[in-house]
Amino acid sequence: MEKLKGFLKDLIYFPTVSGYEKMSADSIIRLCTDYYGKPFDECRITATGSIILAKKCGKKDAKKLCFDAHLDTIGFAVSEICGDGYLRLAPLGGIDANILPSSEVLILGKQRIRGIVSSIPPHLSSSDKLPAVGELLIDTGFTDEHLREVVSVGNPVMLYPHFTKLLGDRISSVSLDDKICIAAAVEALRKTDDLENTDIYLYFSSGEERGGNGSHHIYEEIAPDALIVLDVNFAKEKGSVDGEYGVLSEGAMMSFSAVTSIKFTRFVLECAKGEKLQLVNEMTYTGTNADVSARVGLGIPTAVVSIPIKYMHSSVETADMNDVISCANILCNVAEEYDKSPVCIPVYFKGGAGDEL
Amino acid sequence: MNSKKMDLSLLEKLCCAHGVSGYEDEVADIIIDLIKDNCDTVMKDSVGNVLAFKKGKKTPKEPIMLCAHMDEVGFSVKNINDDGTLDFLQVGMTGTVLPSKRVFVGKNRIPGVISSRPVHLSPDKSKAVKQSDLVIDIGAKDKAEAETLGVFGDYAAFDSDFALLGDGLVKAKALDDRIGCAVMCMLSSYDLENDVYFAFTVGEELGGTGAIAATNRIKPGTALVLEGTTASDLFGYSDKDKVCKARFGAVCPFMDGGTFYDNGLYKRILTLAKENSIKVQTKTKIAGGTDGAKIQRTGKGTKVVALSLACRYIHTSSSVGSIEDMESILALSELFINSID
Repeated sequence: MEKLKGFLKDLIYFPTVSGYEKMSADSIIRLCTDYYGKPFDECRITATGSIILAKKCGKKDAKKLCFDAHLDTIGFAVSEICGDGYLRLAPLGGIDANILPSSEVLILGKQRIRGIVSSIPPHLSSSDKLPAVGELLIDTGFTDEHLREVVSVGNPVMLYPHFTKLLGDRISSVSLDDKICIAAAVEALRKTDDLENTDIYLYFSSGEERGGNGSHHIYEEIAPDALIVLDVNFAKEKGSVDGEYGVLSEGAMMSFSAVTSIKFTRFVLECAKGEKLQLVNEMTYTGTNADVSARVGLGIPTAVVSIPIKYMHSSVETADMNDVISCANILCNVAEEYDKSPVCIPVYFKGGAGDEL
Repeated sequence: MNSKKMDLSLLEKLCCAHGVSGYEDEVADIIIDLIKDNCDTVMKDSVGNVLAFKKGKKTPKEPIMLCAHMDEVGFSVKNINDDGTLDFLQVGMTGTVLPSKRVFVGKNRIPGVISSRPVHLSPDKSKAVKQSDLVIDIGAKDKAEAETLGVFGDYAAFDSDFALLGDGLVKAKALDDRIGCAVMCMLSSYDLENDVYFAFTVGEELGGTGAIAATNRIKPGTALVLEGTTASDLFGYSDKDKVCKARFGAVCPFMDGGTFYDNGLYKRILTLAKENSIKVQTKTKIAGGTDGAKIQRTGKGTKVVALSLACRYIHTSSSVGSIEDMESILALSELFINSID
């Protein structure tokens, strides 16, 4: 458990702001390889900054099972160097202005520098109105000239990384969305026995927070026979309606929706036997990469497994490591069961072979 | 010119200590430790103030008191919810800067975070979240687990490191008013012309409880309050709205929301600054308050003057101030003490 926590913490400290994933791709691969314990059978970075790692069975016609967890996180890009050492930022992904005043950010320019999001002075703020994220001023403390030397418009910015261990196995950090699922996927691969007929691919996709950029290429890059999209999901908080969301520490979550494959979802559900799993009906879209990847190429049977977190898209996203382990165990079971009897395989009733009709 | 350097490690030690109003003991103990070899008398009074006397080369006609408050803004645990999260009250004014911040709860420093409603589920993103809708989450699984830790009624303080920021600035929690405490600790080690009383007070953020007790005991004729004050020198704001500015020197207000600073002493500070080429500025808005208001109104009344640090984002987890300004406060305080007859 402590080792997994350490792995997750390391993942979080490497910035992968949406659209700027490549800057840390090599480091993330190194961390994953170290945690996995041996080199992956395939390891590459795609043109748009997704990472592909695979454990292969060695057979030429192996089935391909893929776990997708998105590599990118919410963040910002520098949009304006204002003067007096202040910057303005454009948000990348959904960010609530409520969390920002007096928060710290890490500006990834020529140097990595700290910035403080200015709080609106009380004598100038009107009761309960908040400015838009893009209007807030970021204080770097630098003189104007010095700031222009180290920071340029377009540089990525992340919420200042910090990893807090709470009571029990609960943790709180920036970027658990979706680094926590990357940790779960690598943990699952580490636990999975050598398979006979199946290659397992990990796809750490870029650009999820900006519309699932990396997901569009999953078929061209991997062409998986089945896909589990791993993401975070809402856990119950103060003010949440009972039964509406998952509950922290009650295990991973499994989504039913209109875009995902009901057959593959049921298969995953059967494999989860013995592990804590919470079911949630998302009705139409899942709000994850599955909304894109279930509909690319020749179609990919997709299921969504998620890890409940509180305070999503804040700098204090909160999760229980036991839910990560339950998620990894389920993925490991799915891999081993799928190897024995794959589901959702195309069937020819007359003639044909491969992808040809 | 500021001849003496600010002792930043001392300031760091003080800023990182916890001293939410009512719970100043941790800060008090650090201060006692720092000044006891420099002063002739050091005491903690019945309300928790640390009061000290340091003999100088001569005794002034009327006693001189320096005053800085030890307490900081923070929170108090009001209720434990069924899901183990903690409802809280604000101690001192903090404003709309709370969602998604880290805190420590109580003396045992249990790490916690202040909640933040997911943006996906917020109906109106332009509206500030109400403090009463926020909770502190320490990761307790349920009410019982939180109760066994005895957190009910305990304080919570911001968890924020002390760091250098940009060119010559510092970022920390509680610069208001550990900067005043730090300057007084440093002054206590100097050879001063006059006898000085140091009052490290409690409860300033809640209205100046400590300042009243300290003033009644010391009965000063002249009081110098060392404080942190609001600087809103943001890009694009008018000078009037900025109130005061980081890097523009020690702030010497002529008046604020609660105090009429003594005009003679105010002019004395400005003259000392001019004669010694030390940067000083005043406030462009009559706003805010210090222990000065209570000192002025206690007993037969005391002449009060203040030197403050222009603090950006005061009363948040990340207040920012200039090291050069701190040194201006230090230099002017020393000159001021030495200038009294």
